Amino acid sequence: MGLPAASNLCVSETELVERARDGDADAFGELVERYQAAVYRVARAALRSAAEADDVTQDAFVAAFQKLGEFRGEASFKTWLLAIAWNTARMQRRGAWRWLDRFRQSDTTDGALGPRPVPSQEDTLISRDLRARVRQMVLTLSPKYRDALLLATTDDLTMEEMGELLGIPAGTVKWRVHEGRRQLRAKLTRLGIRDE
Amino acid sequence: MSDHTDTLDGVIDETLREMTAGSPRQGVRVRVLARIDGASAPEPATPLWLGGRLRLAALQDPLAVLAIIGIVAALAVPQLLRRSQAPPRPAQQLATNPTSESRSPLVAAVGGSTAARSGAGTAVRPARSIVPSPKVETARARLNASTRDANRVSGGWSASPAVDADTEAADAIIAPLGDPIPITDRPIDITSLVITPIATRAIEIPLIEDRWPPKGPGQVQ
Repeated sequence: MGLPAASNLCVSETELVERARDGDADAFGELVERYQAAVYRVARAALRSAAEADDVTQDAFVAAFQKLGEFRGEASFKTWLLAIAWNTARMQRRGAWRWLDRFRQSDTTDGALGPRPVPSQEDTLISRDLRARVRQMVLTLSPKYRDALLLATTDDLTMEEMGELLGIPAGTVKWRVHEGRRQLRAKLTRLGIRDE
Repeated sequence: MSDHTDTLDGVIDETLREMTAGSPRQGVRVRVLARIDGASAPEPATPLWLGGRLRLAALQDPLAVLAIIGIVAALAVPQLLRRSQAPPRPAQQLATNPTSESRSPLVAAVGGSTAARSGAGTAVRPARSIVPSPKVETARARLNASTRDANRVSGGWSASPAVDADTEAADAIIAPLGDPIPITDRPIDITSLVITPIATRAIEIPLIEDRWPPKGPGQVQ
């Protein structure tokens, strides 16, 4: 076993990766401590459930440890790790029940988002109900817009890194973020929340 | 951009942040390290048979599996429908329903010989579709042969050697309800012919062309 965990606090990422690759579990544990929040956020961007994101966070770290030999250092360890987390979350999202749930959710949200009288715009905007409805509208977005929008919100990745994750150019990522936001605003407008 | 617009964007940003916020449960490091210890030795891949692979694929990508099933069904169903709607081949029909119209009335009347049962009816065409073809000739010859067989089995049902010997004379057996059939090379639609008592008695008449209808007791005048 390697050095005690306390001694890893000031060690660089590269050195931690090297030591973890040599079998130092404590060094890998330090990497887990450093990046677990970012991994979790990326998993949350792909999944709705916090519990699923939690599971995916663990799975991603285990997968990263097993694939450490394939890490060549071309990108940062964090970017490489987040890519693993994103792919793991996507695999989780493709499950049969989630696939069915997606249709169920889009069916129910249409009914739930029916036009309702809005008493006061300011009151509505600050209400929890509105945020819940915005959340539902985000879920009804096409996955390509939703993924870009939510990944961009995590602030853990640059546009270029997001492009690598999504398999598209950085410019396309920017456009999707913009278009996703525009569609959200349009949906809000249809709900009676208009810009004046 | 107005204040309302700023507020609207603010709500969107706030909601998006909520959707990606949070942190994993406490003890991720401990759990991950425990799993790494347990999985340090990579497990040998479990061989999956077709059922297992299909189930795994259905769980991972149900859309693809449904698409494959749909394509296979789209290709197979029209073929099955076409096959089920197609008329059965003569051999099949004879095998499944030997008393159907594909079987000659003559064969039915004389009880049918082995030759007739084994396929004499396969070349029979529907009534009123008289087309000169080798098949008709073949069927005619077979029917004649079967008639001879039947005569032998019945112990001299037709005692006339001339009729037994001459296959053309068998045409005389096959007498329609109306006029007798002239003995020519013209193909005969054997499905439209029936054996009547008149015809069976007419076997005794060597040349029916000159003496038709036959005169005698019990005969139609």
